[in-house]
Amino acid sequence: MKSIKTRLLDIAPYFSGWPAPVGLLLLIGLHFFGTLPYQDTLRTFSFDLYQIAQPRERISAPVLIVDIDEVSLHKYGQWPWPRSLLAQMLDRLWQMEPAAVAFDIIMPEPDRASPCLVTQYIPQIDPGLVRQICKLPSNDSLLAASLRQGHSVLGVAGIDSDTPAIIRAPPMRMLGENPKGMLRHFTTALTNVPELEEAVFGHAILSTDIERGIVRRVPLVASVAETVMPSLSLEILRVASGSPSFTVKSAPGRVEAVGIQDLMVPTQDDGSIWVHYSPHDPSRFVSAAKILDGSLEPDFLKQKLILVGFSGLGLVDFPSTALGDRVPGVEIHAQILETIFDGTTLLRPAWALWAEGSVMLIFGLVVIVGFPRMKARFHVLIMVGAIALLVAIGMFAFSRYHLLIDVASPIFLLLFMFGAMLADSLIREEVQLKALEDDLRSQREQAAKNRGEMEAAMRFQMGILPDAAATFLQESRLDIAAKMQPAKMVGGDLYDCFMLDEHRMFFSVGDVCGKGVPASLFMVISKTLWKSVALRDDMHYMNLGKLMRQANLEIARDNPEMLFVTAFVGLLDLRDGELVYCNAGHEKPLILAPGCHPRELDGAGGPPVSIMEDYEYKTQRYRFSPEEFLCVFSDGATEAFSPAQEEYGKPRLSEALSTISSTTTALDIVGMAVSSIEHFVDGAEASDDLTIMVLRWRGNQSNASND
Amino acid sequence: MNITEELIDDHIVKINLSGRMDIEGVGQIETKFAGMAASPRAGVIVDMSDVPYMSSIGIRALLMNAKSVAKRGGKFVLLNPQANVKNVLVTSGIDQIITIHSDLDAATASVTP
Repeated sequence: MKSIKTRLLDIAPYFSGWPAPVGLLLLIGLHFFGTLPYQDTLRTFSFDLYQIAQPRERISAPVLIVDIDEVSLHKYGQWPWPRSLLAQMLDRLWQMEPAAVAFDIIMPEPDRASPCLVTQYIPQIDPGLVRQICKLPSNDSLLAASLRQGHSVLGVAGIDSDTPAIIRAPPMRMLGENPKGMLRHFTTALTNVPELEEAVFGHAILSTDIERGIVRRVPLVASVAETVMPSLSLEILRVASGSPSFTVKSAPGRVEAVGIQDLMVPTQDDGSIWVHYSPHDPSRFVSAAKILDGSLEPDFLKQKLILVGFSGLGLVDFPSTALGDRVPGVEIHAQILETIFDGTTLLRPAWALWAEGSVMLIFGLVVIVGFPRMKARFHVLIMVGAIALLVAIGMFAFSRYHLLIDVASPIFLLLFMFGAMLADSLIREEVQLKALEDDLRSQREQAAKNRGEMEAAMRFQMGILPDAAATFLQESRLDIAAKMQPAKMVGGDLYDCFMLDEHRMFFSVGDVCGKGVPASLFMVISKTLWKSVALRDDMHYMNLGKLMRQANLEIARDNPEMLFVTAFVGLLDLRDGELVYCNAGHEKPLILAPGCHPRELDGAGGPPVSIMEDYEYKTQRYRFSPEEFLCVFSDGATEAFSPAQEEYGKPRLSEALSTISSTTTALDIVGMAVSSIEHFVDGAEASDDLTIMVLRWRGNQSNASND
Repeated sequence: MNITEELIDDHIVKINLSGRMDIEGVGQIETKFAGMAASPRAGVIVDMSDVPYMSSIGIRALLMNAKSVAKRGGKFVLLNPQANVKNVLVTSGIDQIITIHSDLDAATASVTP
C-alpha cells in the first residue's frame, strides 16, 4: 500500500515534468485557432478598456446629424411623417448646399399619407373628387423628386430571409482577389420602395452587428445576395467626392483595406473596422425642426456630410458605444466618418495574433523554466513588471498607432501559469513538510534512544566508582568521602579507593582532558590500569612514581585521539599516617585542619599521563597528623564559572573550606565544597566534570573512636 | 577564538592566539591551528598573551601541535602566557615539555635552527 507521502509525490512533480510545457503549448495553439474559451470576451473587454482609458478626441467635424428628435415630433406630428414633409425638409437642406445627404431611415412601403391613398379611408367620398385627388403626385413622388436634386444616399437593411429583392449598389473596384466570400453576408435586404431607390444617388447598407448591446465592429462593406454594398459612411463619402465607385483591396483570403479612390482605410479580414469612439456629443446634432422652420443659419450645413436619423423615438433601441454611452445608431455612422477623416480608425493588425502568441510562449517558459530556479521575491517582481510592461505596450500601441493589441490574453496566461506553479509548490511544500516532520520524529526517537544508552553508560560509569564512605565503614582509622558529578551525562573524571593490604589504602583522583563519551572511555581505561598495576606490582617499596610510569607506558601506547589524564594517586599507611603520592599534572590538593588556613600539598611528580611516551615520575611523601584532612579535587571545582563568566578559583574553594571544626567529617567537607560551588555557579551550565575526594587519617586506634 | 600567523623570518612562524581556550574556543581554531603548525618552518612560536583562560582541552591542542612540530624536527615554544594560564601550564607539568618564554627575542633565538 502506498503511503500518503508517496501518493502526494506522484501528483507533485507534474508541474516540473512534461504536463506544464504541453499545457502551455496547448493553450497557445488554442489561441492561434481562436478557440480559447472566453478569450473573445476577455479581448473585447480589454479593447473597451483602452477606449475608456483614452477616448478619441474629435478633431474635425465633417458630419452633422439632422435629428428627428422629440422637439420635431412635438412640432410636426407623430412618426412616420408624410414623405411630403421629408421632401420639404430635403429641399430646405439642398438650399444650404451640403456635400451630401444620407438617410439612416428605411422606407420599404409606399406612404399611405399620399393624397390618393388617403381617399380610401374617407367613407362616401365623391368618386369625382377621388379622381381629381388621385391626379395629384404621391408623397413618394415628391420625395423622389427632392432626392434627385442633390447628392443623396438611401440605405437598406441586410436581412436573412428567402424573399428576393432587387439590390442596387454602386460599382466596386477590386484590387486583388474578389472579396465577396470574405465579407459579412446577408442573403437579401429590406429595400426602399423602387421609386425612391431609382431616384437616389447612392446606395448603402445600414446594418451593424450588436454584441450584447454594444456596437464594436461595423462592416465598411458587406455582401447582400450577389452584390457587394458599401456602408452608409463609405457611400456618403463616395457620393460627396463624386467618385464613380468604391474600392476594396484584398490579399488572398482577407480584405486589407476599403476606400474611395486614394483614401484607403485598413480594415479587418472581413472588411469591418473597430469603431474608435469619442464620447457622445450633442453638437453633432441639429434638430429637424430647425431645418423645417428655417431657423438655422444658412451656412451651418455648407459642405457638410448630412446624416438624417432619429433620436427622439421610443421606437428604436439605442445601442451602446464601447465607452458605455447609449447613442442613436446614426451617431455611430457619424463617428466612423470622423475617424476616416482624421485618420484615426482602429486596426487589429494581422500580426497581432502571432505577436501575442510569442509573448505568451516566452512568459510561459519563463514561469515554467525560470521561476523554479529563482527566489520567490523575484517571482513577484517579474510578475508585476511583466504585467505593467504588457499594459504599457497595449496602451502605447493604442494611443500612438491606433492598433488593438490583445495584452489581456498573455496577462491571463501568465497569471494562470503562475497560479498553477504556486499550487504546485504548495503541494510540494506540503510533501516536504511531511518529510521533515517524519525526519524530526525519527530524530527525536533516535535521540531518546541515545539518551537511554547514555543513561545506561552513566549508570555503568557511576557504578564502577566505589562508594568511599561505605567501603571503609569498618575501618575506624579512616574518614573518607568522595563525589563525582559529570558535566555531561558521562564524565572524564575519576576516583578510586581500596585497601591494598591490611594497613594501606590506595586512592586515585584523575581528570581526563575534555568531557563526554571519549573522555569517559579514557577515564575507565585509566582507572582500571592504575588499579591493576597497583594490585599486580610489588608495592612494598611504596614507589608510586614507578606505578605512574607503568600506567603511562600502557596508556600512551594506544592513544590516537591524543587525550591525556591528570592524576593524583596516593598510598596512605593507616598505621602512621604516612602518605606516599605522585602528582601527574593534577591540581595540587589542599590540606585542611581546624583553625588553620588551607594550604597546598606541594610536589610535582611529572606531566599528565599519556603526554610523554616514557617518563620517570617522581614520588613524594607527607606525614599526616590526625587533625588534617586531604582534599583532592579536579579542575571542575576551581574552574567552575558563574553566569557572568567569573571563575570560581582556588582562593574561593580555600575560603569555603577554612571554617572546619574538630567535629567536621569528610562528608561534611565534600558537601560544603559542592554547595559553595553550586551557589557560585547559580544554575549556569557546568563547564567541566567535578570530582572531590576528602580523607582524614584518624590515627592508629584500631578500636577507639576519635572525636 | 581567533588565530593569525605572521612570518618572523624565513624559518620562523609566529602564531597569535586570542580568546578563551575552552572546549568551544579550541573547537573554532583547532583545524587552522594544526594547519599553521604543520607549515614547513623550522620554528613555531605561539603567542599566548591574548589568552585569558585555558582548560585542559587547550593543553591538549598545544601538546598535539608541539608533537607534530617535534616529529618533523622543528621547535615549538610558547610566548608570554598570562599568569593564570601559566599556572595551568606549570601545574600540569606542561612547562617541562614545552618551553615558555616571556620575551620574543629569546623565543626567536631558541627556535632559530
